[in-house]
Amino acid sequence: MKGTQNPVTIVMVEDDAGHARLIEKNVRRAGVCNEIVHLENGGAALSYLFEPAVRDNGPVLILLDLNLPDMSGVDILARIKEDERLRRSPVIVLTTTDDKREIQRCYDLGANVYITKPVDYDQFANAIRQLGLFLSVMQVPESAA
Amino acid sequence: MTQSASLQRLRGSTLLLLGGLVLLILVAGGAGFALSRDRAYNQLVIHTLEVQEVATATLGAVVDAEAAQRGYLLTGEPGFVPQVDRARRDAAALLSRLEALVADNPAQAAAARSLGPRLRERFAVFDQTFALMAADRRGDAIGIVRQGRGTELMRLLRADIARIIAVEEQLLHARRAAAERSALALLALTVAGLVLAALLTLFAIRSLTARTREADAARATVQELNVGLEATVAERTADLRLANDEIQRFAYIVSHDLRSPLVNIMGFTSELQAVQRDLSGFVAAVPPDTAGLDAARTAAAEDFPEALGFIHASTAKMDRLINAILALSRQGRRVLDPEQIDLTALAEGIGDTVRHQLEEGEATLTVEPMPTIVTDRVALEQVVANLVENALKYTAAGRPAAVRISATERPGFVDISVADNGRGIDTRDHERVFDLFRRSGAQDRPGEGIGLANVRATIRRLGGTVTLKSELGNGATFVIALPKVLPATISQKDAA
Repeated sequence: MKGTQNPVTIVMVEDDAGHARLIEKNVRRAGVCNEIVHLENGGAALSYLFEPAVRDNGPVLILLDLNLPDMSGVDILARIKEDERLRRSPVIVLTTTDDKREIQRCYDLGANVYITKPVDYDQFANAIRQLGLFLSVMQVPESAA
Repeated sequence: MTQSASLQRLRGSTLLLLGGLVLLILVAGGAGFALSRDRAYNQLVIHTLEVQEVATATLGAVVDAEAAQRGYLLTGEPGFVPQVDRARRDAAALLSRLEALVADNPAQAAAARSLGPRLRERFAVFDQTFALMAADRRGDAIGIVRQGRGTELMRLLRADIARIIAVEEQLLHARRAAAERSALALLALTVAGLVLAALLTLFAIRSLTARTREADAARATVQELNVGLEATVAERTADLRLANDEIQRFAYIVSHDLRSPLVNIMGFTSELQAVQRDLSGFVAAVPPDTAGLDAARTAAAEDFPEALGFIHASTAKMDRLINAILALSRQGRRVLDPEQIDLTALAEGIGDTVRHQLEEGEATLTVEPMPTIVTDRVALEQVVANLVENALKYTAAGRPAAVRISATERPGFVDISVADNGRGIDTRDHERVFDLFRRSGAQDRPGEGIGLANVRATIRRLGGTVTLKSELGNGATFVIALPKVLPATISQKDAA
């Protein structure tokens, strides 16, 4: 079982440093020790993801916030799912928005999981920890390269 | 044009028409008068002819008598005598008739009266000759004729009668002239009256036509203004709608973005709480004689938990408030789907959902028969349910809740009322209770002050209004006035 030894990189697109820290803490608490790359805005996220080194070196797992200062996370999701290499990367939308239409749109665009950040921290921590457990067991397609 | 001027004009044309009517009546009266005058004139003509005829006949009787005398004198036949007697009688009768006919005219009457003696004298002459003839004194009788007294009398009689006839003729002429003059005057008057009446009528018609034209123009202007007004209203409504949409979006974005920092505050507060637990465990394990332990212990056991508790409670409350704003703005963005709704069934359905609550509090819910309405079911259900829940929630002490849902219809609208016997709402707070996060009365029931704000926003969205009638301690009645049919402009906008 690959489990926590999975070398897949987790790319976290999150503009709020606090959220990023809380997410990282709780993911780690769930025993996930994959590398986590934190990107604070949409532009940085896209340029990182479309770097040949990242794009061509197999799938990454993307944690995506929708409310970013420079663009909507939905646009990033669309770009990822349009790209023939990146589209196999699982995308977990992790955001404060719980608007039904927004959720539908994300799934329509190919999001794999949509999680609303609960304000109640216990729930939040719990959700992230479960996400961590989920990450530790989920299979990501092998690198095509 | 002002209304008073138009009224004045109307009064003017009415007066003109009335004047024309009066003139027509006068003309008709004149014509009647002329007719009766004409008839009187005809009577006078007949009268004159009669006088002339009777006068001529009187003379004729004397002439007859003269012819009889002549015959008697020539033939000596006494058979002529009765003819003279008959002529005398005829003459007397005719004369009295003539006198009666001309009695109204003193001059003619006098002339007629003077005929009597002459006639009698003339007949006396006849009698004389006849007496002589009867005595066979023919020569004496002819002698009397020769004397010429008879002829003289005859001439006088002829002259008198001719005068009477002539006077009568003159009278007739004078009367005819007068009649003609008056007829002419009347004709002139009639023509003038008719012309004037025609003119007045013409003026009246012109004035009325002008008025009608003005009225038409005014109506056209009003129509134009109406169309303009509608356009203006539509424009303003669109503006308001845009502004409202903007506020909705604003509320949504703001409440959304407020959530993000809240996640951090709550998250790190919880992290701190975990740290504090570790810390108090550590402090508890420290030997009691360590310097500064008391302060550290107080901090770990009391100050930290208290501060963190407040932060936690406040952020929890803030979270609820933000969620309320979000829910409100989301309700405003929901697409309305109007459908035919039986209000009675809707209210009974709500009654079923609170059945458990009713039984628990020995409360009653009465649903009166109500009409149907075309509006958005979800929104209306939410509003009525909210009011019913409030009615069951804010009861008066020692009085089980009694809630009554009823409705009255008026043109275009249905007024749905939800009345309770609860604790009521102070008049001062009647407006305030509809504000977001504002509540009234004793704060002894859970709630954030969101329900009624939601009710008002929703009802407004459905094109209606909500009003409150209540006195502190005497129950409250909420009346929702909704259009019978949700205006298409409201539902269309949402579909777009």
